[in-house]
Amino acid sequence: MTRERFEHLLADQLSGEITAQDREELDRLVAADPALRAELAEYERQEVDLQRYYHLRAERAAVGPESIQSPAQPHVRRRRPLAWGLAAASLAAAFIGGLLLVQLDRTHRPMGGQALARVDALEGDVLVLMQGSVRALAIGDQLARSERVKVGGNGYLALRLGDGNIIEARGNTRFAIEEYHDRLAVQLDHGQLWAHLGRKPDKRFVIETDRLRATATGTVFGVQDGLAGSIVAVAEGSVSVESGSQVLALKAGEAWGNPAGPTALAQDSIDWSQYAGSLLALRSTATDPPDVPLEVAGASLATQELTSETGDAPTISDLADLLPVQTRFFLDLRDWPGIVREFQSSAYAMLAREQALQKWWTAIHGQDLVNEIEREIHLREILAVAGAVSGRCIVGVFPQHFLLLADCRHNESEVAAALGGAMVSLTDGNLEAVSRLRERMFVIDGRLVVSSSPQIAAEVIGRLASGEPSGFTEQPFYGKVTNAIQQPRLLAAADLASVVDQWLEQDPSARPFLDFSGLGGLETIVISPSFAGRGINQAARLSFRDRRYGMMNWLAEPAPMHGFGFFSSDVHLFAAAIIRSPREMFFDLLGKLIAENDQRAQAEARAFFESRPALFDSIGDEIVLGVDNPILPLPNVKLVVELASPARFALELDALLADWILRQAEVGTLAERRIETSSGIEIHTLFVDGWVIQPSWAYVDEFLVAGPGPRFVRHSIDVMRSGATIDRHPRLRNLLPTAGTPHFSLMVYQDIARAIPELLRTAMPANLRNQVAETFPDLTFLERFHAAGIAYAQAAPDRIDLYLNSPTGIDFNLGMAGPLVARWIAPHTPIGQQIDQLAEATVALEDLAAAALAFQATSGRLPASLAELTEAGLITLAPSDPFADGRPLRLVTGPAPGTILIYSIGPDGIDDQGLLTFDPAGPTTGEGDLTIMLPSPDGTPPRLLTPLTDGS
Amino acid sequence: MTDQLDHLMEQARQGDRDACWRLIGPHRGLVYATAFGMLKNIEQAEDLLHEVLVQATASIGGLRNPSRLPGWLHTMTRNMAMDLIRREQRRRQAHAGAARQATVLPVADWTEKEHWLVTMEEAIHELPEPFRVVLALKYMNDYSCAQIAGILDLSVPAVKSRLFEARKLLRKKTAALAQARELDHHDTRTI
Repeated sequence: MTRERFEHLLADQLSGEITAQDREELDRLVAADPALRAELAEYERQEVDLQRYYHLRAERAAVGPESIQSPAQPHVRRRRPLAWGLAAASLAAAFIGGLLLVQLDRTHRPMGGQALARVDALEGDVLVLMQGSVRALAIGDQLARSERVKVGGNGYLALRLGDGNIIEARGNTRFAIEEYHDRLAVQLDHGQLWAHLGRKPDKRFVIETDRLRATATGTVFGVQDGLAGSIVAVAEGSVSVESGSQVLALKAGEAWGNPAGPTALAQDSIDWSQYAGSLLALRSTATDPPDVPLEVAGASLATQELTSETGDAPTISDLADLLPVQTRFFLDLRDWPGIVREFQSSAYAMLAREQALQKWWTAIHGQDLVNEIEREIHLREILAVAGAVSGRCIVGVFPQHFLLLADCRHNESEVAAALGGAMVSLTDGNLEAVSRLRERMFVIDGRLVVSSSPQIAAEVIGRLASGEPSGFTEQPFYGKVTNAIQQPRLLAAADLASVVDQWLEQDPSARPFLDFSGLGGLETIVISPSFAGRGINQAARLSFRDRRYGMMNWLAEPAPMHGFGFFSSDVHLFAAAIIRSPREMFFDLLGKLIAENDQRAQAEARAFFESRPALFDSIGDEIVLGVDNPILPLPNVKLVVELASPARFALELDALLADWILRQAEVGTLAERRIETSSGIEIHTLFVDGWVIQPSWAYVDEFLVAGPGPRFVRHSIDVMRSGATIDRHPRLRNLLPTAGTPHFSLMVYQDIARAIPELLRTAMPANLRNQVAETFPDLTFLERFHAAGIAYAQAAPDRIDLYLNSPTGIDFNLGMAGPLVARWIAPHTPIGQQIDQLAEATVALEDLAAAALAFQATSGRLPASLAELTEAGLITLAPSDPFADGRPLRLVTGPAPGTILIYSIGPDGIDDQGLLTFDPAGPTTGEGDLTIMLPSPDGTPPRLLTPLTDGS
Repeated sequence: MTDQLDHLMEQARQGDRDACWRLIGPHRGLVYATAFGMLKNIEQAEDLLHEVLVQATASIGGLRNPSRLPGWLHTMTRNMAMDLIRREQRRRQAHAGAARQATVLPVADWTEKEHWLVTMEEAIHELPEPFRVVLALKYMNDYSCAQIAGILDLSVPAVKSRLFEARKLLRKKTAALAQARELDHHDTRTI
């Protein structure tokens, strides 16, 4: 009975719906039985886990409690006039009652020793979660230990601790405060906190995340935790950070992250604080170099030490001063070891550890391939030296040569040893060759110098001796680079103006292309992973010498984008652009589409469209093209065009179509425009005899929505009406740099990898699927790596800034690299080779069959041997059989009189005289010969015979 | 309140997009929680959420009693999720050769948070579907037992009982998984 009662009370308690009387009874039961007490504690821990787990899951879809209205309360209530009086009275009563309840409530909250903090300031939604119950915090409220605080997305919270110190929490932060005998610990689940410990804390003060623990006495510091990692930043005083086996000390102005994060206090980590002014002031005074770490804790600490700029140590500009003035490409790896660490913890590294991928790699002997590449490009030696370098590294590339400079002040001997070992390996121990290499690869004054030219390397020695800079940093190119980005971690830049000028000098015929594309006006490109604001992981700036022109001028300055509101949340790809002049863009394209030498056709087409000015004048500036589902047999391609004047556009298009349909009728082609209505909107469809797709379109608000059939347009309208659109979905929203309607010149959204496994399953021929499954990895693991990503551009008159934002950073890159890798790897796989051989044999057989038919046309009979074809000059050499070690394809008499068989012995390597035929739909290693019979049994053009299915 | 709901419903039937959204939008959490509870996959639940919203907007005219909207949405989500599950099962049967492998990272590379998350995820996914749905409704939306009872068409005591049974079973499963992981980790270290 006690057990049943306990469970009943426990169920109520955990549901947060227990009465005070039942709570007392539960307390009595657990007080009397330690086992029940332990069980209750365990369920309470589980309660916190459940809240945390579902909170994480709800966050993904942004349908958490703060964004949801209770189902019992409709979102909008329209009161009837008579109800207003009652409503006002109820409101007043509720207000007074509420005040009383608040007072009563406060008297029942934990006080004294249990209250750890008091709310000093608060904005937005701030909730306290405890044992299944939720309450909203207000200014003056107290917070007890273990109470989990959740600051909503729009919120802010400042808590004053018992000792007078302050903790600030940013929006989207969740934490709890625990008190132990030796410390006060803030457990940060996620989000960002600043601790202002101006007064001496009563106890040791600690902020803990899953990845690190930051301990401070008398300091101002912040901790941020998110899915990407934890970061500690210090504004004043010092903080000891423990993370795994690492322990290090951070001083004012420094930051440290696990995984590798910023090494300096970042502006955006300060902006939200109400003490931002004083934090900024503290940051500006924090110019002392960081301390040597408490304990040696891996390469990360060495990096931090090296990135400081003190005394006469080479700074980035010092290193850049050594680059020749003619440098055209410039790579700056400011935090080389940090970049390596970041890569090691990236999705790429995780992908490489995938068992399915490793199995496949072994199956295709991938390691042999790597070994070959290593030997070919001396990768092993390069990696040995690169691994030893732990400071900044810059590379300059100029006509015909390059110069690499690396900072190795702190491990000069180690780098010198690695370089020596690499040189011995490169030269197979030939000392004379080593001495030649030493002329262009050496360590001097704490700098590693590697160049393709001994003269350039010698110039570096001279500059180091004289202290005279090369003048590169005074060049306009370098000025552009440093203006585009300050203090980069990784930066690559190219002087495109010089490249374009050189190109034109060598090939003046490139001028029309450069004029049309506008590439001729390019000046520089600067690429950096930390180029701009929130959530951006790659960015680039294209600068122009003057104003943009040609294709480069198609993009207008950023403007609000609304057109993708017609795409559902499962859209796989779309591109939206704000076009400066649709008319000019159209005529530019027209000029390219119609052969350039056909001046008359161009003039006619131009005259035709120019005679309908309303068509272009009524087009707005936003154009969106998207694909909703690339797996469907007919991809759901949609075009959305903003219209400045939908009525004018419709009128003009109708006239144009009527004219066109009439002309089609004149040439005997049936064409018809049909109109159907869906949800009060007319959907127009053009049916043309012989066309596979029927273009459909509709005018919705100020947009033209078009697709490859009426159902696609109908779907777009349904999606738009339902509001379940991609622009409302977190998949896209979370990628945007700011809330609200995006303002871009160009935006490309992709979620393609989501479709890859399905695409492979459905697109792969059935006969190959099982074979491929044995050799290739099960690509379903990609489902765990995929993430939507966006690329967008913001154009200005003389530049275009490009950004790429993908949470894992893998999608776009995978998408771009995939086809290249496939082309490179496929021929090295057994299946790839077999497919190649089959294709080669089939093409050779078809060529031979064509020659035999040509022979028949001239001599009235089919050839009796390959020699006859050679003698007739129809083939120069008997074509070889790829499955027969270079021996030729066979030509023999066929089974029926007057027929011949030409065949390859097939992948099994057995000559079946062309009688047992290979099944092209079966395994690539199947039995039988690849055979063509002439003349074809059914009178069709020659093709490979297929096996008989009745077994005869 | 019924009058207001009726009014909104009438507007929705006439194609008023805002009215539709006012009616359906507040129940996104319900739909998502049900979808996640049944499908055990965030991506699929997100997709289903939007499919249900599209479907619900298109067919809201067929709902006679607006006060039944939460239950109606729950049933619709449930049916569409079942369709999806069936389709998925058929697809898996058709492509048994390329069956999905366990989506587990090498244990040695997990952080503590990942350990916790994976254990919770596995344990919750092993629960029977009614338990998963009731937990998702409770913890994703902070619905009261009475609200959940209204959605699932159950009594309040039945909801409390289902929640508690779910917690009990979850406790057993998390303990078993933690023990298995501990053994696994031990094996890894001793190899």
